[in-house]
Amino acid sequence: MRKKLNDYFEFPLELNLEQYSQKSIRKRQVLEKLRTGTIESELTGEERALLKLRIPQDYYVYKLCGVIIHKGTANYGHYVSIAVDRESGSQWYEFNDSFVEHFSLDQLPAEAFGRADKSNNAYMLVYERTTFFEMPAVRKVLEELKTEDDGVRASEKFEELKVDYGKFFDVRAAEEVEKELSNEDERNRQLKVVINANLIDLINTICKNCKYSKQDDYKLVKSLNLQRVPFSSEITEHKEYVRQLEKLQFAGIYLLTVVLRITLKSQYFELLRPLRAAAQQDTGFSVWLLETFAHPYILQEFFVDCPNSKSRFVVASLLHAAFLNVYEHEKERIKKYSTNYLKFLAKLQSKTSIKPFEFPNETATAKKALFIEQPKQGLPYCIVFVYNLFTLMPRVLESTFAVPQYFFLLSTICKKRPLITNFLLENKLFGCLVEILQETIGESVVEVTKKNFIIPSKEPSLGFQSVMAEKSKASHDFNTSSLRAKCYRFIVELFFLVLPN
Amino acid sequence: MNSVLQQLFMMPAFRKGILECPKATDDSLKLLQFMKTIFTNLKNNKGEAYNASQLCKLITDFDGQHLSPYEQRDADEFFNLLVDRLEDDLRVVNCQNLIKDTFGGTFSNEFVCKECGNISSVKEEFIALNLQIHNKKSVTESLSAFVTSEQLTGNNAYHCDRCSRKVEAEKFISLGILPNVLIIALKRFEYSIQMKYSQSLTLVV
Repeated sequence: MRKKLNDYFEFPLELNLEQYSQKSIRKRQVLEKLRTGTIESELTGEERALLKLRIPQDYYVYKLCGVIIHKGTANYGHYVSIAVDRESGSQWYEFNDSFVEHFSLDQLPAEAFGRADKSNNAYMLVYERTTFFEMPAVRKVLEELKTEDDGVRASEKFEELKVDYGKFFDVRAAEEVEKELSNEDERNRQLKVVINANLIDLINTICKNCKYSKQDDYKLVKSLNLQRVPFSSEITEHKEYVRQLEKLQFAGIYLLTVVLRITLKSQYFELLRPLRAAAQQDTGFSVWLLETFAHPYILQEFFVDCPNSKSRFVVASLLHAAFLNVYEHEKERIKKYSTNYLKFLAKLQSKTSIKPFEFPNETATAKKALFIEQPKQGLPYCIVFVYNLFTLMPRVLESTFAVPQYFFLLSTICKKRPLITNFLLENKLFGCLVEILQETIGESVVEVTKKNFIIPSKEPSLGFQSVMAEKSKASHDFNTSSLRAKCYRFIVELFFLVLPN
Repeated sequence: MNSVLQQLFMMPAFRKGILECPKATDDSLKLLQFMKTIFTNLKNNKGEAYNASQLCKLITDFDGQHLSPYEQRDADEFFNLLVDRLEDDLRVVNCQNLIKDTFGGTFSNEFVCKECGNISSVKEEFIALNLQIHNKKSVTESLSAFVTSEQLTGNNAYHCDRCSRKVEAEKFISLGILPNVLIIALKRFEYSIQMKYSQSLTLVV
């Protein structure tokens, strides 16, 4: 049982500890000895030293500087702090969690001394000397008092050991902390500008006001340089359509580079809805999305390595919608490429330059990746996208963030799309899935990594500032059984999509 | 916890000591960094931009458990823990004397042998004085009681090294080294075993 004593207990504003100090008590004893008959020559060296020792009063005098007051009972209570601002020397404050108030010393007895029937009283007292001393030196001086001379010397030394209290007010700030705080301030300021309810509302409205027609503008879209924003200034025809497309691009870039990088909750889905509708209905927007995400490093940055599952979901959702739309436009072209794909790929490898490709955060697997530039007339965006997406599988399994979303995206793409599954089969990309199931991860998966990524030759309009510092830390070991089980389930599902064909 | 941190911040010497001690080469001195951040926040009037659970994770108690932000903890217990753990961090950057130089003092336990007059003293370090309030009305009264002498006789007889046997002795406790900042903790909380005993007695009957 814990009990709290609320009894009255007072404490002074100024406290002199001389009478309680060992040196002082001993000195008094020695003086008493002399008074009661002991002759000086009978005294020990230590006793003689004591007689000669003079310690300044500053050493013994303390001022009350702070009190921690406890309000309540033994088991349920609350602490309040009162303290004086040493610089002014007289202004007292009361600190109660986040509230600060002036405190008047008149209130001290009532608030802090306590009474049996009152629950608030002082619990801890803070006293400070008005003049500080250099304590390590003081300890030394007071230790070696064995002779009379020691006593004399100590008395002289003591004065020198005083420290000017004023120097404590001059603090060289902890630079690294100040820097971090001002960086944080800057970040918060930027955030306030950039994540702005009004801005999101505006973008929302713009997207909602977009009109989508059923026209087949695939050819028009292919002729535009979508990765260069703005591009409408160069266009003379179809200005309205092109300007709308730019608006959608802007909204998409905002969502992907700003909103998704900062963990916000409701704002995600506000923008996702109109943008997903756009991806489903507007050829230009969906082509731009697919073309952008056909870059493996964009896929990696925004999807595979993204540690935030909501962001990955949003990206997968948009890509899924975009893919469906573009696929409809590209079906015929895909047929043409699918059947001769292997031959085509061989031709491609011999003709074009193969450059080593560096991912922003290089991993052992990525270092081996090479890329091929697209032929002039360009492969279908769907093919490039699916190919690069699949080839990132080792990376997915390594960082394990995106496993569920990744396989989900793959399977929805492959579902009822024999053209796609055939393409993957012909390219022997399914082999590695078998290896994974057989738990010989490494061999065939390494094979997959040796495959070349196909890089659309244009620089993506998204860019990739690596703000996600966490991605360099792989989250789980692939060998945790729950993760493996999840993978296997997806892979088996994929197989079932492929087999009937 | 807030109260303790607030008091520590309001001590110019301690504040200066913490803010000016060097940074570790790696990021490992988390408690020290935390203190620096809090003090800088307070200095720049940013208020208490920290939450208790952050601090709790950085301190383990004497059983090795992390503090729980939900548990009631005595301010002086917390102060002792905080200071002890902080000292570990400070040691790494060679500032380990900050605590001792600011709050550290000593008790002097002196034993005077009644037979031969030999005085032996044992010094004990403290960073806070714990004073009894039971039956005392003021700090001065409590301090006086603290510093009174005790006769060691009979069962409590003292073993004198010079006489090489148990003798009657007088024990004096006094304050040796006095710190620049003196923290006094008042013993307002008591554990009363009596109530337990009285309960079991009635049961027996």
